[in-house]
Amino acid sequence: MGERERDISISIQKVRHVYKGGNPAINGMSLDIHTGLFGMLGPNGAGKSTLMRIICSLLVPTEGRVIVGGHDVVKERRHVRRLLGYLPQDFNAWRLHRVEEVLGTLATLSGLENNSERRARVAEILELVGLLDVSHRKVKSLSGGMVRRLGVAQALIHDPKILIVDEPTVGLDPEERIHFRQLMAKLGKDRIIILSTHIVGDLGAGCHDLALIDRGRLEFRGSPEKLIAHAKGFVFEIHMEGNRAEPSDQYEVVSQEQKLGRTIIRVVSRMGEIPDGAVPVDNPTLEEAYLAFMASNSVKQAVKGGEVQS
Amino acid sequence: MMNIKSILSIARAETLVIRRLARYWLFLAISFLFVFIAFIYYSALHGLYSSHSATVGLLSPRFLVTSIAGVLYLVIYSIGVIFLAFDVRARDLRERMHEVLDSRPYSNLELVIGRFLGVLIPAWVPMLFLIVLIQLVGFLLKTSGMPIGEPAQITSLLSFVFLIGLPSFAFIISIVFLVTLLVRNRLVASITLLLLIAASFGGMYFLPVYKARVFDFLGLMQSGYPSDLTASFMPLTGIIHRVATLLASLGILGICAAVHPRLDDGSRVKTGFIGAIVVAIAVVITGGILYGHMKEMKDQERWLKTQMEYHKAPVPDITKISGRVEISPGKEFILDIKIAFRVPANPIKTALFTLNPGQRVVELLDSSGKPLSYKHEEGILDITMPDTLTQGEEVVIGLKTEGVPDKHFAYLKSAVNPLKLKSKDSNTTLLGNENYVFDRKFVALMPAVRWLPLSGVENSMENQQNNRVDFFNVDLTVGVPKGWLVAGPGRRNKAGEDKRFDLYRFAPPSVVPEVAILASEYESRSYETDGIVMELLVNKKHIKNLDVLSDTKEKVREYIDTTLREAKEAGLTYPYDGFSLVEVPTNLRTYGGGWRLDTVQTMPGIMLLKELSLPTARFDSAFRNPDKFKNQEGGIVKAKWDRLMSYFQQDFSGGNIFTGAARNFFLFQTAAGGPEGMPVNFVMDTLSGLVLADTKGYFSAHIFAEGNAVNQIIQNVIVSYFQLRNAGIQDTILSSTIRTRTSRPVVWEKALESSLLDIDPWKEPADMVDYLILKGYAVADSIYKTLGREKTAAFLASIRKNHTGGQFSVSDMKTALNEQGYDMDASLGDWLGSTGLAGFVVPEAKAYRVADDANGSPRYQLLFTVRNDEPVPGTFYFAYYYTAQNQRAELISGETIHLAGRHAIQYGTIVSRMPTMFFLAPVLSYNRSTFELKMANFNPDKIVEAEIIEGVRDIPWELPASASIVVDDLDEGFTIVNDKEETKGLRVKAKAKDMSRDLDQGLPYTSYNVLVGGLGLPAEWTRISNGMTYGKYRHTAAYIKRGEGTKKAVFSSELPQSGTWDLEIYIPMRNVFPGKKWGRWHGVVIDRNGDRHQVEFDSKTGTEEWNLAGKYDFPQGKCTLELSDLTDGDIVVADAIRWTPSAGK
Repeated sequence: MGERERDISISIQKVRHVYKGGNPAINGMSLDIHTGLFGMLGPNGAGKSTLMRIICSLLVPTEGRVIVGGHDVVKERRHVRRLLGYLPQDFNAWRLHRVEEVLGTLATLSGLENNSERRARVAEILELVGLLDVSHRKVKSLSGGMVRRLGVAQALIHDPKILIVDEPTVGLDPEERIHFRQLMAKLGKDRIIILSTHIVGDLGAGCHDLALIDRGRLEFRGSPEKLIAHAKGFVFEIHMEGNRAEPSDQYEVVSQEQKLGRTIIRVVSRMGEIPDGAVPVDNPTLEEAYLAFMASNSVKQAVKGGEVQS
Repeated sequence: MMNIKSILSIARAETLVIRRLARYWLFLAISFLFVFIAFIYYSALHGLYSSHSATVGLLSPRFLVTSIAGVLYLVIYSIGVIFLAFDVRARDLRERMHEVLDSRPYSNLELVIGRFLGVLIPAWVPMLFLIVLIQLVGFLLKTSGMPIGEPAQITSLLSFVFLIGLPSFAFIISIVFLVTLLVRNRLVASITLLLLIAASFGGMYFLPVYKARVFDFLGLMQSGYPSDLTASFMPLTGIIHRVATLLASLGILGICAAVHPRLDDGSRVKTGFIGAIVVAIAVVITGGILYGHMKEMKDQERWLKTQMEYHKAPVPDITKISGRVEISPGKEFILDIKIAFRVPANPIKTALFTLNPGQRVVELLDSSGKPLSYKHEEGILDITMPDTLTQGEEVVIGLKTEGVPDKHFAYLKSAVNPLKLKSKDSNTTLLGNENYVFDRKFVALMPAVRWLPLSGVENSMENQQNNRVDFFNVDLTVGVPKGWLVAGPGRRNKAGEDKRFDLYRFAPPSVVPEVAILASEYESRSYETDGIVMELLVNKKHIKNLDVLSDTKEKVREYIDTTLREAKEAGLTYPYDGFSLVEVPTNLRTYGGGWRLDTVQTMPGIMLLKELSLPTARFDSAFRNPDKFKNQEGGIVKAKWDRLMSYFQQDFSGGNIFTGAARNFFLFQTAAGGPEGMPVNFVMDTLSGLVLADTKGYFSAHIFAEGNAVNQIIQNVIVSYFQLRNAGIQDTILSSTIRTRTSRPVVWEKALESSLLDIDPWKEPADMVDYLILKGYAVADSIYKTLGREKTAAFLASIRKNHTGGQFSVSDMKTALNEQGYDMDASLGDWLGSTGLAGFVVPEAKAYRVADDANGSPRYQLLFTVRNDEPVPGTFYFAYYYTAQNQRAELISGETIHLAGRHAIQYGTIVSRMPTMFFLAPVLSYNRSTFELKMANFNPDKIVEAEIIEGVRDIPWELPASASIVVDDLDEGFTIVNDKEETKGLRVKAKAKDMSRDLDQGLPYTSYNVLVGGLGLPAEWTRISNGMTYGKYRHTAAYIKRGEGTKKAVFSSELPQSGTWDLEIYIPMRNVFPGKKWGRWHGVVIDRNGDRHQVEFDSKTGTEEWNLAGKYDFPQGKCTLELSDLTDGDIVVADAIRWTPSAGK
């Protein structure tokens, strides 16, 4: 077991999951994830959370296997859970508990049984997520951001080899987001972090591997650079007079900027054609790349589905 | 392998949440509050009143705090636990914590057990605080000199916390978990659980005890009576039940883990299966308890059947039992005796005895030491004699047994089997459920378990048809552990000791019908008078009252000495050489079997004292302030003595020492046999009590088997008591109880249906007991009031002298009474074989002043004419009620008068002051109760020159001729109509079944009128029995509160001829309904042709007599008056109406 844990990885093998009603949330996905911050991008409803829950052994896949640290998530849940720290998308905590009590309890349940070690670890984590000052407060009195940080803290309390965070920055203010990104980058050095988000900016510089999921399928797997490269030719800048910008429905507006009485908008083209007066962007951002990819992907899907006539 | 740290961590988290829930503290506060209210209430009840009556002592919070107060905690908290534990999953979902928790590396079983402990601990731990608090409060109340409160008995508290509380909460919580996991909606789950709990409580309440005990998850029926005398913490079956409950909880938790929605390693099926197996084991164990109870009952049925099979076999007449009894408490019981018996009327080849089947016969020898052939099966010891024995032959056999008696072999035929009673009715538990006790700290070998052979088969004194009592001499040496004291039939004589035992010999000088042995490490107080040792044996922890009452010692001795001396002078010498008052644990059954359920607290030479009676009553509270009694006549010593006397007299739980001890003087020496034995023995026993202690008692365990009816009984008794007290008449709770119980219409209906010889006592035995008491006390009263104490004692002595050790007949009784000047037939008629009674009517009652006496004081002549309109003789006396300003009211009884059937007398007496009211008090007649006499107008200043008439004078008996037609509320012609739907008698049809016991000729009834004003009037026509209402013999009226005119009392009669008739309505004395506004009443008279005539009657202005309500021309035939409940007053009373031809008026 020790051997397997040292060589930590997650292997998702042809996983398919169908909820009641027959809609596949995950549709035959295979993926290997290794140490480092792994971004899992995709729109809402893409199947990210379902995949996360399967990895965390909270959901049994309809088909396929998931191996976490060498353990099957269905047959060896306890082993898998020992390796995991999980921050679900809609985390909250017992309202009537104090912050330190929540962490203390979850630490014990995660295997930190030595009292003094546990107390030290709780203090350390609270310091890390900036909640030390409110450690005696009850959860019900915390702000949304604080609760989110508490969520991160609980996921990290037992120093897991694998950290799975689902939409972790919801409710965080910009400063907290930056702090969070830095923390993820730091933690990702010696463990697997799967960060599921639909906000590309959350991935930050620490992310060197990511996957794009849409409608239960893995649409892209690679580095952010690869994704960006993939987007070249799909991102444009349009300079318009005045402060009114009315781009066509064909384009996805990424940003809009007022400069010297002109409006500069950056758009992603769904089909790859250049609008009139548009200037291709040579260095699209990761977000633009994600949008471009998803836009083109949606067109492909539509074509496949016969929605668009070429 | 479960991770304890994970479990504890989950438990800690759960506890934290629970402790921070407002509802937790709410339930805790409510339960603590209720417990303390109950504790203080019962402490007050016990502290203030337990020295008034031993019955009150049964509710001692010291012993029953867990049963009477703890139950509140359990019930309230059981409901509370639902609302604490139903969040086992829902809270995590609601607070979006479930995924974080679910992804932790622990098992579902650890989760469920952790959560379980997390709820259990905050629910259960407060119980520890509670008992500490109760002890503290009790201790503080006691040490601060308060009259109420004392620390509770420690084992009862420990039992409450560990054996009752812990499994109860564990079980409820596990059930709540299971239901909330299966039914995810909290509201639905809560309702389901509340319904389950309600069903469980309901089931326990209505199921018979033996079943209810099994389903008693709260454990309230398992603990029995705590005791300082016995060692038992809880009966073994109780402990097994609690373990099974705990086991079931654990099994359910396993099932909970299996059905928990969280994904888990391991097999759900396996976990669930193991859980189900554990539950099944628990079910099997509880099933075993049920089986055990059913087996007990089956054993008893089988034993009884066997007894019945041998019922007609010839019975040896035991003349003496001698030998040795060895008691190794809790372990071994050895009987090594010789039985001498005489052969009865017919020759016998076998000698038949009843011997407890738990005792193993190890040796049975004839007088020459040769073994005898025998069969000891089903409690029958059937010995085959070597030769046929002829009538009168005396034989001695030697019997040695080993083994402890089977405790269920007792009271085989009993109107009440405590196991079969519905739980709601099982107040008999207050009188104890253990047929005998063989504990390592205490032994009570009660006669009923037949540890000593009984000749023939079970045949108690109250058996109607084959009544037989075998009296015999005893000479027993009893070995008890060193340091123990033993009580038996008479004086305890030290007879040496051996290696293991202290030996005591009991060889009373007279016969006994049964033998009881009681042994423990008692504290003894004794003295000897006239060769009789009087001894009190109490537990060493219970000598407090001996100190408190020590200054009454001389009075007690004086009373005993005087009673014994006077009895001896009257020929009723105390038959034994010792009398012991012995403390016994309250769980010892102290009521007998049969249909009578009489007390068994009295046995030859022994009177039992329940632990919760004198030994633990709060006499210290009553007399904590001696200064209070300084100015009272006789000071504190007399006050204590009076209290002690009333304490025992007002014992309704079978411990009346006066009536109990009196039994030694007569009924333990001789008894009447045959069909009339039961009522005759009852009368003789009553007479013994009257002669020796001037008191009667009232006890039957039936009262305790009537569940909540006890409350009604108590209310009726108290109301009746205060009714008289309010009138200024001295009364006792005892006489009030007897009066209230025996005057019930249902009892009278029995008395009028069947004679004492014809009754089937097993049919409604509780009412039959009161019938026996009603008639038996009346007969005893008639004898005692006529003969007086000395002659009655002489009568008893005469019977005893001639029949000691044997039986007497009714004929013997009549002869002995005749010798004393009492003609039973002439005075009472055939009181045994007939239902007929006398019926007294007083057509004339008048008074006038006669010449003053020699001192110039006024004298008044009272003159009454009394008819007995029935063919049966009867007895009565007049009673005069005197009230005067600033003086206590008095009720003075006149001499007893016997009046032959269909005879009339005139009775005259001279009094020096005029009574305020006059009553005729029948001893037993159709009049049922005392009724007021209407005196003719009287001028106190006018002196009438007339012959002084004193005493009884026969006058011709003649029924008055009258053309009037009277319809009374008791007559056939009286009915009730409700909403135009006529129903004969009872109109509350829907309630008819439930109310059947409380009906008086079809109407609900009230036996008292004090509450008529206080509690409001009934909305239905109700009968009241009151001597100030109209009646030929019995004086009753129907009454109702103001209504809408739809509820009508209908008086129907047959008019013999056409013509003009006067309708008169009788108004009873208005003070029957104190404080009520009388107004206009409305009625309709309907003649034969259906013509309706409105009647309007002003009851307010009418006299308390007959009042003309109208004149009508009617055809011959049926005529009815419908008196409705419409009035502008408060009340309408339908007492009686009268139709009189109005010609000439």
